Amino acid sequence: MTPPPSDAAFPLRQEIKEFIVTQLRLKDVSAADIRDDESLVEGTLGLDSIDFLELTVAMEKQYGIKITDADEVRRVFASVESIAAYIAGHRARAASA
Amino acid sequence: MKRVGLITHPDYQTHLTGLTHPERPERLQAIIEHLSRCGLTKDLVPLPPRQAELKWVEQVHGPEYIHRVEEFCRGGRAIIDSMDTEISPRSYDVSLLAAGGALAAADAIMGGKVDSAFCAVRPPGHHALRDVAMGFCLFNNVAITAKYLQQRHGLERILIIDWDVHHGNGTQDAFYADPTVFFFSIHQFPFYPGTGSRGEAGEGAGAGFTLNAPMEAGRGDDDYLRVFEKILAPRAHSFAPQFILISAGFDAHRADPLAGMNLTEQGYERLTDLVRSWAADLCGGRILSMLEGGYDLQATARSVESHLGRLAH
Repeated sequence: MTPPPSDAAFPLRQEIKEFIVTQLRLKDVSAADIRDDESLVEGTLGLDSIDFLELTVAMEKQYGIKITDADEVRRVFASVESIAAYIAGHRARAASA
Repeated sequence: MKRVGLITHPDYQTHLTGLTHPERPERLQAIIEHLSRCGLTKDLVPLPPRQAELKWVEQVHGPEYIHRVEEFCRGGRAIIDSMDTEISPRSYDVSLLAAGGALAAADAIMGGKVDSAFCAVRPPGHHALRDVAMGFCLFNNVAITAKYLQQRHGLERILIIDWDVHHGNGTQDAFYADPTVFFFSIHQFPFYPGTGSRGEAGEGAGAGFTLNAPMEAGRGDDDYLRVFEKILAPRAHSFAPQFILISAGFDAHRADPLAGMNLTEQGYERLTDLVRSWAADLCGGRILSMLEGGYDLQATARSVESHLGRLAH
């Protein structure tokens, strides 16, 4: 039997979950509680625009990304999955440049 | 008790902007009367302002622009560059006195006469661009002061915190490529003057030394505190400023007629406490704060009281 994809299969997603928990100093939530595809606004976390502002600033520093406008923030920070896709795309573009 | 200097002067009320303009002389009158009524004035060290020497103004503004401001004001024009920036015959001299007030306060702090200072001056300055007056501002008081601290007093790193409800576009512009001045602005967004998005973060050597915190309307004390504690604090500490300047507008107050934020006097008190603790850790407590906006007379006066009360604590 093939096990379902686990966090171990997606190290970047796992890293992002831990980054969110650490950066936002979340007390009642662990990385394991966050699903890859759940909404960061309406799901377990219920993040607001100030949380996103903090994450944006921190991720720019950590991952060298630059997110420039509010629409892009909403799109990228929709879920852990979308953040990981954005960072992976950024890395791929940087590698091919 | 800390020694807090207060710069103000009756001449600041001679910059006339018309009967219905929100940036009006009564703003200062309300602040001064309120500080006196609540007994805070006796705890402050009065500092005399001076006219800023042109060589310092020219660090931020082009000589042709400075000359144009002088000509327009003395020539009796009613506005300069944009419809909202009204002037009167004394406005040029008063603008130099506003910038020079901040320079005098900087000298008093650097000379050890006071620990920190507040400049109850007008016109405000943070929208003024190198060659353009806008948003009620003629000369950029805070930018001129940052340059002065570096060149006259030999400081290398200045942190400017702009908590006026409008983005400090003029100040950002002055230091956008400059890694020696860290500019932070928290403001309602989208809103006047249209700049101040997250993507504006400095350029060239100054990349990463501009930090904008655009906030949607309706945010209050706790939201501002969160941004200061979680976003600005780590950046401020890693920058290790030698002096902190505050562009202190009080128009994010819930009573302000021009904006839609929800701060209270207690919010300004808490922000001041926080900045004061950073200044104590990082730069010997040196804070120079100067009035920008704030258009509800009583709310602004009470907020200035809260701000100064915590600076003096």
